[in-house]
Amino acid sequence: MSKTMTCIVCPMGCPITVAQGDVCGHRCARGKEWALKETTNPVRMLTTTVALEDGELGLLPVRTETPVPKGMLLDCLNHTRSLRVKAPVKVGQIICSDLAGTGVRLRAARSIGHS
Amino acid sequence: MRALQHELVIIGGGPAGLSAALEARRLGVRDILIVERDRSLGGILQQCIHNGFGLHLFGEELTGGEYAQRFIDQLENEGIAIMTDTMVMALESGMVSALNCSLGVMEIQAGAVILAMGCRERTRGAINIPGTRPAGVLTAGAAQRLINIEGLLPGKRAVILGSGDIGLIMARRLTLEGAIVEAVAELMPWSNGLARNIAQCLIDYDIPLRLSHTVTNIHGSKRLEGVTLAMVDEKYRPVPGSEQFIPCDLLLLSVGLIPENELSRQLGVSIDPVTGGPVVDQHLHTSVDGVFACGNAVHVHDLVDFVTLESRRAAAGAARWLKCHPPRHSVAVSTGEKISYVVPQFLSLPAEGDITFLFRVKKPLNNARFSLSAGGKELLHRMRPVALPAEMVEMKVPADLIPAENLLLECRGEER
Repeated sequence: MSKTMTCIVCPMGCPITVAQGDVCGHRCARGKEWALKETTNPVRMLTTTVALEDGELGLLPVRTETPVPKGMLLDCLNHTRSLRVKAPVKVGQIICSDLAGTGVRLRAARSIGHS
Repeated sequence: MRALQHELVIIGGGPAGLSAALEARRLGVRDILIVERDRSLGGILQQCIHNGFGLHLFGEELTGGEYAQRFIDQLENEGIAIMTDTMVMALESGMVSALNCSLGVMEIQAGAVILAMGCRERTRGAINIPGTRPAGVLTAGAAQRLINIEGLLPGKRAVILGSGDIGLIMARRLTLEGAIVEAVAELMPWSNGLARNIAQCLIDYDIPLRLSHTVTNIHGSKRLEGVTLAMVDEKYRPVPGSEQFIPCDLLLLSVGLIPENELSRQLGVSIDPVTGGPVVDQHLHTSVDGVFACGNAVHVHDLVDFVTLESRRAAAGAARWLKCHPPRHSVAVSTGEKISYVVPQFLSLPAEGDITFLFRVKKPLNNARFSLSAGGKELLHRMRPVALPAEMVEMKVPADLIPAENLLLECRGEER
């Protein structure tokens, strides 16, 4: 049984086919690794916004440091909705050290000053 | 009314303006002012909270805001003057008129100006979608600003017209914020968004992509109630009988970007009718002496990394202009029929170093062969297995290859 998918690691978007553990269509090692993971435990990066208090702006864009399991995306999103961050915030600052029990950290994706 | 003076005034504090400012400082320009109409720097990158930026320049996939922050953080240490919440109202030779709520009306004398205003979105009116005019019809970028900066969800059930990357990214964003995206309709038989975005924005969320479809009617009086989607033929005409009513309260339009050049036009800068941006030379010098331009204001880019590189070239041009005014003997760069446009549109000779040509093909091609010639003689060629209109091509040419003659950039290839 084979599966063909578009690799999302970089903008090239190579069409990669995985059949019985054999991978073809990738143009780099990261693609091969991604394809194998995609068939066993697919993961996705999450980028969203969280509420920011006392800031020059009302929302703080955030990103996961590493990808989270695809099936847990909605749980992770719900967790972000409960977060409240206080300004000032620096880009890279850890907003949450364990998103929805995935062990993945959430970081501030820009700096915002105090209002 | 205040009279101010700055050596270099940069209009726009997005990635183009930020990159130009830092490079101008690096090249020794002492007195730089960035004028930004928004309340904070970063331009459009502020609302691009998704990742994928900076792969070429930083080897990382940053979010839009992270990319902008890299430049904003460097600005702090450089003593570059910044005015936010400040709108430039008029541009004359050597003079920038701007206003804000704290300083009022200002007339800023400038030794050189860099135009970095970015671009705007094509609207419903521009593509003439028939129907009523209810609330709920927005451009994709406007919706992105509302959701990511203002914290407002503009609708609960959406149809998106246009499958370029902005439409695809917003399909995912809406879904993550709890809206239902019924379909992404695309006029062409193919999407010009990245395959990776089709995968991670549509396929991941089971959002249907309807190729060769368009919106033929908008329904609803005060609020959007639905749209009519129809299939189109090879001449992009709606196919009778294929109409389908899709209930929705939000229609997002992702149907093209247009370089922002109201100020440029007012000043009398020559505009390229294909790009919608100023005609420039290899230093990004426009037809008006001392006025340079870079980024999406010149031509719409796919990669912000290229915007940064182009803006550095504009800064170098402006920095040199501030020191001396070399005479501008120009040769034109024209394009063959498979190429839609090229930047720069002319070269100022003598030229030094490498000239970077940026251009797009009109249609997707296999085995593309790009050729630069002068007087019928080929100077240089480059090959690419695949060339797509959605992927700007960069071609660097050593200046010493270029004679004092008009140039022609052509392309051969098989249509995909």
